[in-house]
Amino acid sequence: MDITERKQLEEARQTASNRFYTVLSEMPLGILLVTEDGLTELANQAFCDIFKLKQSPAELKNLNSDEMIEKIRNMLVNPERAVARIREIVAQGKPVRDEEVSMLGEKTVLRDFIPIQIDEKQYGRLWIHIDITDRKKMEENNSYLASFPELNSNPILELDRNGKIKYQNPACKSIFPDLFELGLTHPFLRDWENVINKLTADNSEQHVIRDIQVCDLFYEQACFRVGKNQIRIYARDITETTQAEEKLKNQFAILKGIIESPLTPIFSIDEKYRYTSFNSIHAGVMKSIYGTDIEVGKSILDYMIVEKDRNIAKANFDRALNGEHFSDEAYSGEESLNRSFFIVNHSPVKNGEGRIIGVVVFAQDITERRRLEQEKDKYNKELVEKNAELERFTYTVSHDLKSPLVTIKTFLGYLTQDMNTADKQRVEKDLLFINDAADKMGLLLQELLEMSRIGRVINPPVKITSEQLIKDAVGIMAGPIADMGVKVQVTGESVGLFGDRTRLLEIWQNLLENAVKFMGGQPSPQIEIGIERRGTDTVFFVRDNGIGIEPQYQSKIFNLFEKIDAKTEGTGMGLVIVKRIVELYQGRIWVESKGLGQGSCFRFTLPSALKEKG
Amino acid sequence: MMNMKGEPIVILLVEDDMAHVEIIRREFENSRLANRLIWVEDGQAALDYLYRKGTYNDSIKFPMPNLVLLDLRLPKVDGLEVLKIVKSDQNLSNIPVVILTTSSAEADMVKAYKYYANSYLVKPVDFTQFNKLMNTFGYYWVVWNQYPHED
Repeated sequence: MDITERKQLEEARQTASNRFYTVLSEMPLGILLVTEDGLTELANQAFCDIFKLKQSPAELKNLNSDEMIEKIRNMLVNPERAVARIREIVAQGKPVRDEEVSMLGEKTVLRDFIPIQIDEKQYGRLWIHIDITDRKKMEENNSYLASFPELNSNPILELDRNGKIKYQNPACKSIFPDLFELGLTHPFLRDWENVINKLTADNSEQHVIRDIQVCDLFYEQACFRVGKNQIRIYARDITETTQAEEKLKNQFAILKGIIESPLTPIFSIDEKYRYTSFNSIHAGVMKSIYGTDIEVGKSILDYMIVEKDRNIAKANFDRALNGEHFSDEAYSGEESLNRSFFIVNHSPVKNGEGRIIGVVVFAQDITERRRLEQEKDKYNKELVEKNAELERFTYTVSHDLKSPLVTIKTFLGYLTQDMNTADKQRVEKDLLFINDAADKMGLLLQELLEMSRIGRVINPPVKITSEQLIKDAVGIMAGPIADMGVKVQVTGESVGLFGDRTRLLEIWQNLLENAVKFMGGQPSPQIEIGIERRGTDTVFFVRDNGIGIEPQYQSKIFNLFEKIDAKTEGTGMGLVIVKRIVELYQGRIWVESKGLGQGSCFRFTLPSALKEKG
Repeated sequence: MMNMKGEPIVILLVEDDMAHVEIIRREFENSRLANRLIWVEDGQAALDYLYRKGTYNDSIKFPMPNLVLLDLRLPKVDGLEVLKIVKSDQNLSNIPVVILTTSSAEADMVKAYKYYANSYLVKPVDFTQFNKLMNTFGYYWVVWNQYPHED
């Protein structure tokens, strides 16, 4: 044989051997390699650690069997028996697997014994030790834990992926006696596929929690994977909780319904003014006033950016938080524009122990009620006025119409007497009185008719300018104006009006007629017809430098059949008619005069004739 | 004609209707009762007269009336207002005030008596009735009724 080849083979063997020993040395298992003669070939560091040997692995090399047993025996529980077992294994020379060896310090080592045999020839033996103390403890714990399902009153069971039941605790068996038999058709295992899919899919969940209803009972199931194929289910009866929850949900829905149903703002706050609830109407109100969306948990006071509002609100909340239950009237919005009126009710909220924990506030919108009340008041007032006027009217008819009648009848009597005595002068005088009285009656009746027509007979409204109306009125009165030598002046810019032309014209015509009539002895009579602005109002006026009106009579002149001067012609109805027409256009009329001889100025407004510009 | 004591009777007539003034004047003339009928045309003038204001300052020309014949619906100051003022004034309240009006309204009558009117007469529409009324009125107030002496 070539020596070179031999050498090469030897080197290769040596290399393989070295590599084998290195691997054994580094292994985390406690390795002890012994020759057939019983001498230690190799002990690694892990072996030394398990048996707590002071020597290094190298120092243990070539120790014989007795020496090695002597080194390790002190670590063994019940050393006599343990050593006997070792000798027995060696003597038998057969592989031993997973033999548990108890050691001091409550350690457990799992031991393998492998006789090395090649072609029926013994080459030595390999001992492998694994420290399973931790695993052992864990198993013990597990078995300890595993005893609990037996006692647990909640159903616990284990199934394989196909739903075959591997374990049921007593509670499960007693609650679902037919579970094993029915398997996946039992409602308790409804949608099993789904659970399996969730637990076994990629990125699968650690556990699946689901609610299951069995007849009237509700269970919460927690499904866990145990090992590769087992699923364990812990179930919990949540029927009561579910029912309570359901009840609570219903109550909440009812409450929400109550809160949302009235078209009125409702909200509640805690003792720190933080919203605990509110309805959409309150949220809408807050948004429209402060422009913000409110949230539960935030302080209402923080939303109220107007200091005055905030102070009032806080004072009210504090009253309620002190236990007072009260209602106040309040409003929002600008006056006369779109002001809303509310009755705001504050009630303290008490917890079970009677401690005040917040405030409930609800506001009742009484704007419409207010408006109706005001309207009612207005109509009532109008009715009272109309009634008073009607009373006056009947009174007047009984008096003013009766007066000329008395005159006529009486003078007819005198006429008969005077005709008998043939006193021509007296007869003429009698006839004159009768004639005057009849004229007066005629005029009265005509004006009464006129009065009753205002408000009843309405001509279709037209567009017309104040300039045109004034021009027409002056035209109608041209005769008397010229007769009296009155200088008429028209001032101010013309405005557009929309209304009953005939009635509007009557206003200026009557006022002009009055002005001409009551000039008195004025040597240079003047009348000014004009328009002026007073704030937002357009005020029309007819001013004269005539006899004027004493202050005490100024309010009387617009009354029905009221006449200040007995000697003047007319029935005193002209101004009543004017007032009526002005009121038809939502306006008012008044007179300004410093007294007798000081002239008069009649002013009036016609808001609704100005507003509706067609 | 004089009254029972032969003294002249002064009557202040407050009336705004000229025709009615004429009627009353004629009635008194016909019955030859009135010694002196003084006429004013409105409530303000009546008060001015009684308080001797302005042109009525002259007590010879405008003596205190023994009787006021007062219409109700009057210009300026209403008849009821005149009555109220007269009857609430200690110096004037003893002057009898007779209301002579066309108004037969219950309210007017009640008010008039409330303000201590001495009598309330409604002008009749019938001529004969008016004659009778004025005759009776004349004899009652001018002839039979007694008045205290003015100081």
